[in-house]
Amino acid sequence: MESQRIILHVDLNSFFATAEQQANPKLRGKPVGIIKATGRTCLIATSVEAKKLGIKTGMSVHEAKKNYAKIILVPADFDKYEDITFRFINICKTYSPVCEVFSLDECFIDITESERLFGGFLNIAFEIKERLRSEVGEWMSCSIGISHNRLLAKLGGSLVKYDGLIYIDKKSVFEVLDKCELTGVLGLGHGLGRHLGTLGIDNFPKLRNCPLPYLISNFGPFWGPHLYNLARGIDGSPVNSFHSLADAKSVGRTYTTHRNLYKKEEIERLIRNLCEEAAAKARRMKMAGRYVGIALRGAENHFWRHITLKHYLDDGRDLFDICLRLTETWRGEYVRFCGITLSMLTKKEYLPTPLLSSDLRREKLIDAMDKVNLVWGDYAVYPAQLLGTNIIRPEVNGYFGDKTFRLNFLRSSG
Amino acid sequence: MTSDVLINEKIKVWAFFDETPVNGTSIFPIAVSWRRRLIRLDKLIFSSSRRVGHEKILGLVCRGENANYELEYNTSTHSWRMRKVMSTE
Repeated sequence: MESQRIILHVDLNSFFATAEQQANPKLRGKPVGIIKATGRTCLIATSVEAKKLGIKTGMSVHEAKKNYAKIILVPADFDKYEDITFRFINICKTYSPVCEVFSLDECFIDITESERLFGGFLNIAFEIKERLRSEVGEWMSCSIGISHNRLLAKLGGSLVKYDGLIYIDKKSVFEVLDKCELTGVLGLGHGLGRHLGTLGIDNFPKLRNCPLPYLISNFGPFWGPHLYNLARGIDGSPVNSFHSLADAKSVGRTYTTHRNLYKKEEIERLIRNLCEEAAAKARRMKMAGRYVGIALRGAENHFWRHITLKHYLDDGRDLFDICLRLTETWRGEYVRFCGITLSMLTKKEYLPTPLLSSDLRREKLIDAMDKVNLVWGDYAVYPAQLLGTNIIRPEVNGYFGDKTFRLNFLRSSG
Repeated sequence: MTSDVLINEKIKVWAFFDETPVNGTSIFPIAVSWRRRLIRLDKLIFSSSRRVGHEKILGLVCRGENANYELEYNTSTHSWRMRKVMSTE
């Protein structure tokens, strides 16, 4: 069965930076670093030109300037990136309904059934590249890996950076794998890589020489066969279409502040803001959760507390109250990072309606608030506690972690 | 940082609407009246859209004679704003 599949992995090259270069031609051909906002000190993405100078994603601005003092820093515009992503997905999904949105800039497309309708997989690949240029912008480019499974398609895409195209057939699997580093492939992270290293296995030929019982005895019944297959380029995992995405299991929001927050009121406002966003997201998906987690970080102080409740909640105020209780034991000097999680989600329709009139009133109030915000935009109406603060608004992240939520419109449009 | 100049002022725009989208949009600004000057636009470089509640706002980057201009078009109110002026060099 596996030999019959044809999977495309399409990856937008240096996505955030290329999008900025597309929108501002002055930046094209120059080393560009994307920062979260003005004044931030970490590069969240870099352009192809910056990468050639050794400037990598995750570097601090200070480090980057050591490599190249004239690097151009551009604040991220997540609305722009999200819009491009949707246009990119719309292009990809025209070639097959079995299209998996892997992250903000990556899609897997299973064209096994639809390939011949478009004149073959190479035609499709070239057409995607062409449409990206004509429908999004002339500077946009993507790398495409084609193979008979997800593992090799993704691996191929990563081997031919910057507008590349590669087809890996069954004969060349070992040849391609043996050129790669162990941790360079999908499904083999740094943890597994380290473990393999302690056994003296640092490349694919060595991994392939390990018998299955040896791998099972060292890595267990799941990871043993997984590694055995990986070394042979075997991957039977399906492409998970966005039509069949499972319901979200959790919602959350993290935020790193521009400065250290020392005052209790400031910290509480930050927590409230994030709680409101997480709860609103759950409500928009018509879900409620009963696992609440909060993380706070200061200089050397990492704080994480969570609680599993007996009842479900989707109200930002309730979530905030629980988070406040969880942070009672926190003794840090200041806060620089905060993360809120609402997990163990279930559908709201499965839950009983509130019995008490005060609860009913509260639910109606939240419902009215949501309706206003849906028409006038997020935080058109918000809790008075946040008055006078710079409200942190929802934004997409690079991993597209909340794709279940954000791809809803695609699922409904078919 | 880049040498873009943030403007964020209301402007008047002459545009034509075409059935065939290019760069994801069917709206093509031709000229802008801004601060008593008429600026001709000869190319649509990039377009994107975002939503604020029910309002859809288009962002259009256009090439002028001496600079690139980032315009915003509110599809609900049909109003235009000049967001940014970006030098070409």
